[in-house]
Amino acid sequence: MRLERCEPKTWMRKRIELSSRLSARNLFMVTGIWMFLILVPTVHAQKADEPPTTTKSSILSSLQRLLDREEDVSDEPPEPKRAVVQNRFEMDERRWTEQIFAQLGGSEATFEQALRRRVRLFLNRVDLLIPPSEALREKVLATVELEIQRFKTDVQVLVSEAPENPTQEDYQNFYQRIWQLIQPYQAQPWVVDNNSQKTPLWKKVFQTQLTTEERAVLSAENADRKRFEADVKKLEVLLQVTRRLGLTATQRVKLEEYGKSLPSQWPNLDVAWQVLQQFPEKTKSELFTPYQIEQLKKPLDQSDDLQPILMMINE
Amino acid sequence: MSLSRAVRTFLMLFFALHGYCCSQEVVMQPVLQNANPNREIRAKQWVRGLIQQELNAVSVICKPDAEQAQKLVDMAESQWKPKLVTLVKAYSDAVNRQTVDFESRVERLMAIWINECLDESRAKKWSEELEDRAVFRRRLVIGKMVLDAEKKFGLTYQQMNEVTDLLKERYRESWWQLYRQGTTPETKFVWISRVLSESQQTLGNDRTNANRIESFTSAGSVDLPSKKLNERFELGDKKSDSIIELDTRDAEGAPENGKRQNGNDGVLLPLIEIPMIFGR
Repeated sequence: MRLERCEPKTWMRKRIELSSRLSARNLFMVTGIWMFLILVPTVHAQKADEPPTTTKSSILSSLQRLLDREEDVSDEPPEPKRAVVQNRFEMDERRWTEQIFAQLGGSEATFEQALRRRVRLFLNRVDLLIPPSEALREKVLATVELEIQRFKTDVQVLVSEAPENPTQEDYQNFYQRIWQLIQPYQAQPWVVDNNSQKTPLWKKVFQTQLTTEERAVLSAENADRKRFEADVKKLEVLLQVTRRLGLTATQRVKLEEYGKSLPSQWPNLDVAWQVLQQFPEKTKSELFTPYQIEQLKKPLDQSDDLQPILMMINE
Repeated sequence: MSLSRAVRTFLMLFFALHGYCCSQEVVMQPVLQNANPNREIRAKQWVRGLIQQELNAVSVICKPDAEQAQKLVDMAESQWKPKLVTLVKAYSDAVNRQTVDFESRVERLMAIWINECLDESRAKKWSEELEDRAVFRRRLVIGKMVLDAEKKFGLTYQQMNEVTDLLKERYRESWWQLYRQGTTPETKFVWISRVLSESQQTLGNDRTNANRIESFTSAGSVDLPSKKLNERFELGDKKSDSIIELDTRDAEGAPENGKRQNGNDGVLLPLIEIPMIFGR
């Protein structure tokens, strides 16, 4: 009989059978290891010592030696063990700087290039919407250069205050400050919000140079693009709902129409599922078949069984 | 040596034998068992859930007569297992759920069955339904691609619509496959350079610091409908013939939808092959 890949229960059964059958041999192996541990030092000790003593006493003495080795002779009380071992990070200014720019696209140079690129993308788009003005462009680009320099200085100042050997808590606290500093420069060119704290300087400068009509044009454009994005996200959720409930094309079109009238967005399947579950019964019966209404009562199955290793670690 | 001859002989014999025993092949081989022993059953449940959904849709869209309905439901019940055995195997061996395409496999199989069982006019209705699905998918994939292009090239709303039209002409089925596996296909600069302004073209062509910003999609989620293995397929009021045997293992504790099973999930078993010096 050999042990092969099989179900865990069968495997254990086979394993027990095998070990019981081979018990004599196993015993032999185990005793062999012990004999080896005891006898080898004995033989060596005998070779060294002149003249040789008797075998019995040499075994005894080597055993004694072995035992002695384990003993703790010192009378000093042992050092008290630390109750909590805190995880400490070895950080210096260079590492902190690297960390910060890693959040912004990799390195300092990458950050600069990416920011310039983003601003140019923005200006290119604006040129198509409002009459292009070279003066405005130059002003904004100059502001960006200024801002890059200012940001670098800010980073240097912040990093000089950074803890060198931070604990987990220090690390997190300091990361809050880093976060505040880098937030305006995170790569989100498609989000233009009017929260002045988050808006980068070049955008503020740009806003001040616009006339009222131009501002209106741009904000209408932004709204359009945001709507486009929201629509696509809605489609994504709609596809998932269609799959989960098995909607036909007609039903899907109906649901899409109905979804338009809803003020709430459909950010993800979880929320959409709840929204669907809370539809009034009349709407449900209009949109869905009885089988689908039954399906709708079930919870979503978001668990992914295909993470054996993660599960193993957690256990 | 002061050891007596008997002791020396004993030791020599002992170590020789001991060495022989220990030199036997001892294999320590970690075997990653299936993450969930019930994963095969789980996959089958999903397959059945999908087929049942399609059958429901067929009954609404094609409205087959009694004979056709019975034929279709029997065919599904008797053939789903042999036809989709590779799919189930693929899922139980998979590391990544998204590589296993349940939906399109079931869809294709269903189309074959429908062509066999239903008459031409009804089958045509079903193919129209499938086309409609494809159009919807195209809409979504292209929408995602346009959003990416907007971030990448700085498009205006009007340009976004123009790019949508351009991409519709270029659409390929493989884009949907990519999307389903979790990434949006890349919108190439040359495809859309026609609608860009001069300055946008200059910047778009300059790839020195343009990271790929194709976003991830959520198409690979595990929200598939499921149906128990011991429940018969239904089509309208028809059930599959009771002669066809069902898989009854479901009753033994395959996970319910939405529940995670504890137990032997993902155990790393050391497989020790014990040497057989007496048995061989």
